[in-house]
Amino acid sequence: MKLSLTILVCLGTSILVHTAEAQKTPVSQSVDLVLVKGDDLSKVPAPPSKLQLVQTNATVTPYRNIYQILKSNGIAPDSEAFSLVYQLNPKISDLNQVTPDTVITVPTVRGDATLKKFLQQGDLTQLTINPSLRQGLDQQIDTLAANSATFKTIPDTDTQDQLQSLVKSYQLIEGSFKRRTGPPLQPQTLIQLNSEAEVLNHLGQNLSSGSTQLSVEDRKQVQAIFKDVNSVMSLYGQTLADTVPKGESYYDVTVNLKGGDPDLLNTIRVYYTFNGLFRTLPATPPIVSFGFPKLGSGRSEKFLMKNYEVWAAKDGDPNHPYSPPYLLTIDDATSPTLIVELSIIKGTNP
Amino acid sequence: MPGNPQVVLETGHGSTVSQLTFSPGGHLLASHSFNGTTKVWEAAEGSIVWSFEQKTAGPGIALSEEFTPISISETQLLTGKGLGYAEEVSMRTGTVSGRLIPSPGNSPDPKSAFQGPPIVALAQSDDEKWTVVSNGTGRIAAFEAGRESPKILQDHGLSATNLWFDSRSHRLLVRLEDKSTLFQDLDGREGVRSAQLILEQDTSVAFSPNGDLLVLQPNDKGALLSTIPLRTFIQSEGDDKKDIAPNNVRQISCGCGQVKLSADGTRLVTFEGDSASYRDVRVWTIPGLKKVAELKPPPTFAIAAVSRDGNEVAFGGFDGSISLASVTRDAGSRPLSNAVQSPVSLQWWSNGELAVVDDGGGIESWSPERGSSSLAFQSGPVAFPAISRNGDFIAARTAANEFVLESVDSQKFESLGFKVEGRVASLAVSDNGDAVLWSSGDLAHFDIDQAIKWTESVSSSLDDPSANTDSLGTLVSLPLNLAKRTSQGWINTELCRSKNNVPWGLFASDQIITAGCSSTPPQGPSSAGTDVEAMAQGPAMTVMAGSRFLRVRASGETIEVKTDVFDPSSVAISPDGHWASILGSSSVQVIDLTAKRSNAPWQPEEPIQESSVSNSNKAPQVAIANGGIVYFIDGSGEVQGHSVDGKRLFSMISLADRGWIVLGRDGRFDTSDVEESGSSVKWRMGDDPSHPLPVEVFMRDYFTPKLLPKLLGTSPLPEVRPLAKLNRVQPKVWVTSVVKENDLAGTVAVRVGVESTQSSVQKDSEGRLLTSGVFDVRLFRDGQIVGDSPQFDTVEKSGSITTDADRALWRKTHQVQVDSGVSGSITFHHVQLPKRAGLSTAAFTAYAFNRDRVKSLTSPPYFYTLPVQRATFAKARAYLITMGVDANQSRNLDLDMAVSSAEDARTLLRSKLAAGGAEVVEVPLYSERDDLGRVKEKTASKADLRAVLNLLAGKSVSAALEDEVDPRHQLRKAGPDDSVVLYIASHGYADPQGVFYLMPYDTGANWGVTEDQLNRCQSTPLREPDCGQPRDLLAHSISSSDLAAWWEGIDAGTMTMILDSCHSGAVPGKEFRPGPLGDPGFGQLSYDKGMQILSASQSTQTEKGTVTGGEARTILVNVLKDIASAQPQQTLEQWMKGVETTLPSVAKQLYPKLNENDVQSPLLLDFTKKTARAAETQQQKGA
Repeated sequence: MKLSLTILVCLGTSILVHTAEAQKTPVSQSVDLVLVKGDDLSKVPAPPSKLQLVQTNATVTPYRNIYQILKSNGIAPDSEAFSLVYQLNPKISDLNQVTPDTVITVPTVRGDATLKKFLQQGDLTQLTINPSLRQGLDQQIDTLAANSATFKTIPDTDTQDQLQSLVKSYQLIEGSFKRRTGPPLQPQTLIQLNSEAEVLNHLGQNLSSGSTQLSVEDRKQVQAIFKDVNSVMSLYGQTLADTVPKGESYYDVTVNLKGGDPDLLNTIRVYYTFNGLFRTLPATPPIVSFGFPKLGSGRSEKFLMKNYEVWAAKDGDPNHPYSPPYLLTIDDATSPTLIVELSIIKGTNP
Repeated sequence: MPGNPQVVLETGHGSTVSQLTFSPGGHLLASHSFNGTTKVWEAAEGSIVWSFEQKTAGPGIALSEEFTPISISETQLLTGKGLGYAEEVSMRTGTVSGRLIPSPGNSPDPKSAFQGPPIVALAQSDDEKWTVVSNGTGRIAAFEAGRESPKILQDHGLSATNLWFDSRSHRLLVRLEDKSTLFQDLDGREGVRSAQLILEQDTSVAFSPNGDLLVLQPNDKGALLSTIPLRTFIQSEGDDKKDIAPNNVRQISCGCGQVKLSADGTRLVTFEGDSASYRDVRVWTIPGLKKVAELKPPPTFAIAAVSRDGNEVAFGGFDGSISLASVTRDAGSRPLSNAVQSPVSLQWWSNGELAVVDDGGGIESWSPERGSSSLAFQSGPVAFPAISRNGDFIAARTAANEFVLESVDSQKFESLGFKVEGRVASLAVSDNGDAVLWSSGDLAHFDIDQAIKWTESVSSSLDDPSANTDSLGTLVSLPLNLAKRTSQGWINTELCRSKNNVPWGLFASDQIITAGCSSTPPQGPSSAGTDVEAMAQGPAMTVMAGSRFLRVRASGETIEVKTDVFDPSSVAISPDGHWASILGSSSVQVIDLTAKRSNAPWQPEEPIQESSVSNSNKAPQVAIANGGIVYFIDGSGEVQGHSVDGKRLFSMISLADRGWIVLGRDGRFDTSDVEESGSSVKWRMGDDPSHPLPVEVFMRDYFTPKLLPKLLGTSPLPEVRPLAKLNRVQPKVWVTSVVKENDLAGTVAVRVGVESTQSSVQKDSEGRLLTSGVFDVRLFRDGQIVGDSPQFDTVEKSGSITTDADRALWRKTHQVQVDSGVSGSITFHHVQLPKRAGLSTAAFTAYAFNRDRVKSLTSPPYFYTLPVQRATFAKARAYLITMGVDANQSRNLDLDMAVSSAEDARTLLRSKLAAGGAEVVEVPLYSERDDLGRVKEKTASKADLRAVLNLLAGKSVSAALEDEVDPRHQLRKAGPDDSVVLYIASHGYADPQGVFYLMPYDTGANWGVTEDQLNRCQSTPLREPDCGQPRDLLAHSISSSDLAAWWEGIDAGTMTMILDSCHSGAVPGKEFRPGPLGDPGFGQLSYDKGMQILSASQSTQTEKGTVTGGEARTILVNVLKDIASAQPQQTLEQWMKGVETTLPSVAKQLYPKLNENDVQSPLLLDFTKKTARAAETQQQKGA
């Protein structure tokens, strides 16, 4: 039996919404809970009818690490559980660095009296964060695998190689999720992977419906997605040591707007999207984008290690830019805080 | 008390050998060079015993040592001194034991500054009863042992040029300056007789066994051998018109440049060719003139000596080398002296390493951080090498006075066709390959395009206004391009010549030439000079040193710091510009350039040698590091490291085979090859100084890997065990027989003899002479361990034995019982023999340890002739075991890339092993999950790996287990012709004690144990129940001790293990030192077995995986794949070396934020070299 419930997790500034009206609010995330056996993680045949996930505080001690804490809270300490822990403790990006006596927020499973019995015999609750997003991603990956043969018909070998590599990467993502060996991911990354897989499948669909060529813009987009996904895949590089998987690090990005009427700058919002989703604006259909939480110049947002396109536009109308897009690449060598300057196009009249 | 050992380096003289002579018994060989050094060699062992540098006799007294006559007996070295006496040096203590003064000198105290006519010839009788000394005024005195007053054979007159004793009596023949001869029987009553025998120069004389005189004189057809009966010879006395008529004259036809007789008159040696190139050396019998040997002299041969019995011929080289050829052993000459490369120049490279140019034309790059040296450049012998600051270019003068300039990358010198005339003043190279050479004849500028830009022999004055010079006293500086443009006369080299001054200069990398002529040197300590005598270029500054001052020129300003150094010959700046060091005529001083303060000067332990700019290749030089450590060379063969205040810290020595040694002052040492370095460096003990001991004697207490960084670090090293407490008596071990046991299996029984020996000097607290005992005997076949006694069921844990209790336990468990406590034998059964084609013999060696774990000498090899009918034996096999642990019972240890990495490694290794012609037997041991997370394969378990290695060791395993790991039953006991390659990709852990653990599939239900937790539990007393899981996890893991125990029984010819895990560099053990030490642990086992171990990371580092092209692999496998793809023809060893070299740069690109220490660096331990050496010896013998 699988239970799905929604919890409220304060994600700080990590806001990802498909709306132009970005705002800093708690984001709802759903979490699937499945009771599994502690030894082989197979589903418990007759689980309790009611499971509830709550957040509690726990103190790390020298002999009680995050694994033990989660297990004692009835949670299977896998990558999904660590995703949630990192989201509940946004200031922590590496649980290996947490020193004894640190108090952290952790998920805990609650239920009726029968749950206690299950937990006492070693059963654990396996979490899946954002199951619909995961499910959507898995579907996209299956479609992508089906499109693999179509991609081989592309005459441009570079693009073809990139697409084949992308198919393999997505399959690795799916497999490692099922085996629970992947890295703890932020929702933003799941959205990115989902959206970019969707774009690739759209290209595949076009190809299978008769077109044998990709446009220059399409090829550029494939290349951008290839880079984006490779950036994510760097998170899948495991360490062969008994350590806790690291979370995704945040980078504070401040965008300054230059030029234009100073009074009008306060009405402008900075938008961004993953480079693989970006197409020359205005695009048809409009591209998926995300807005900074506040209007005006000098505003900040927390980014992950990815490739972004950043631009300024009228609030609520990201498809009509006021500035040229800026390619922001955040990689392992990037400083934790960085400033981006966008020049408002001359003659812009909001 | 023996005190700390002193190092003895087997270096040559560094200058042409002028004298060479054997002791009567042939045991010792004495050599003397024009540079005043005298050395004594132990001929049979081929090792150095004593080395005496030229010493000053006192203020104002110059020694003339160039043509020093020498003579050596078994007990003393006799040296004729220019001051009128012969000095006796005890061969036991190495100290002066007496002086023989043929005539009174000018001083009442003969032990002080005695000065008389120089000694020109001397000789000792074989029994040391008589010593005859001749001085420059013709006084010939015969000193009888035990008597003060000499017998005067000639008061004055013509000096003797040669003295020959009859080796069986005390008859003496003297050749005088006018070729005439004198004869004297020192035991007889007759007086000195004129022998009426005219002997030309280069004549060789000996007394035959019946007392007749043999005279060998070179002539245009070869040489004439004459026999003069002693009776005839004596009868000629008084008849000055009657020449002696030899009764037997024979012409030796040869193209001989030299001929020599052995002192016993039984051998004649001819040296074919001329002095520029001797080709062959032939040894003939007397009187039959039958050739008994043809010897090959070394190419640098300048002078030779023949042993008394004519069985040994020693060669002294133009390069100062000493080598020895034996009639009875082999035809080639074996070098005694060329084991060490003498440094001639020092310079920091931009990578923080110290470039040391040696007298063989090589550049060694010493890394203070790594504590080791590597060869950066190799060419022929050169002088005055200069290296550009970026390390790209090197310029030098060759022995033929040619100027050479090359990029270091090219690894060779090419002449630019420019002859260097006269004295070299300065040579420098810029970073872009521009070079300036200033000799007393020319100032020449070259560039790397090998074009001589200009060369000047100029005569006009310095102050050409068009040159826009910046005059600094006697210096002139000007831009190079301006110098080229106005190359008409801007430096007056004639001025330097006419005043006998020294031209010198500096070509700085910023294109500035600074050059000048030094004026008359200061005349004494009180006269501070004003002339600059040495210069150095540093970061944005130039320093110029003169007597008692240092000028620092930076940013257009010049400041002066007072110093205490006179006549500086070398000045250096640290790479960061913080320090300068000045080397003067007698002292070294360090100046803090930041504080502009001079530290107190200090004197090196050995007097500083001739230090003015000269054409000597051995001029002293300094370099100074950022931390203030002074590196100093003085021609002794070492680079000495001193602290700012002059405390001697260490010596760095480069060996001719490109190995290296670092020596601490307390006897600690580090070396590139602990077994080989023993032949070039020895230790002298205070209580037995005439028997320098090989380095391996003190290996146990003094061998300290990474010694240099430890000495340069801030943490003091722990005290070493006092040698007075160390029993250094070595047991004797030898292989007595090898007997066939089983034809089909091809095994033999090897019998090893052992003997406990007794010291002649070392005593216990009760005054009894110490004995060695016999402990831990080890048997090797072609360098690989094949047996040890006593034998253990388990392998001990890594770590050194430091406490008395541990030592007592070790003695108890490792002692070999010998008959009567003295000698005995051990038989090792079922020893396998190699069966592959091309081998005719197997070499067996053995060694043991004494009660203080001091190693015996390794026994001489016992060559066993392999059976001829070996073609019937099975084809060689290569067992390839790949283990990948993706699924783990402890779920947090699950991986995605271990199996895929193991599979890729398997493909690469299979191709390499198959290419070698072996039948490849593959054993994949994997654990994986399916997409639903269920375990679908789980043979990557501890039990399965142990079963595989047990089968290869010939041990039995349960049928069920064998079916699981080897369903086709292909595994059998590995033999000397087989290879075993084991690759493992898994989690790894190293505990605080340095024990390494691999995590197999079956680690138990220990989900969630982290390294942090393991470290706590392994370093503090166990806390139940908190440490229950960590402890259980480690109990289920594969420890380095497990690996040692499992590998121990395998007797394969090649054994390779690749550990693709975090912390896998810890597998040899924290205390592991690569040497024949008899230590416990995996490192020692791998060393003794000649294994290759490639660990993905150092003990403190992690191994990571990456996803490339959608495929997940470890970095190690990715790099291995790249190297194999680029260099498919390379050997597996080369691939692994490539991984070791390349992986850090790949890791740095992937993780640019990592600290330098955390950048993944593989560890490659390749101990196949020693087995390869053994195999080579074996093949030579077989051939």
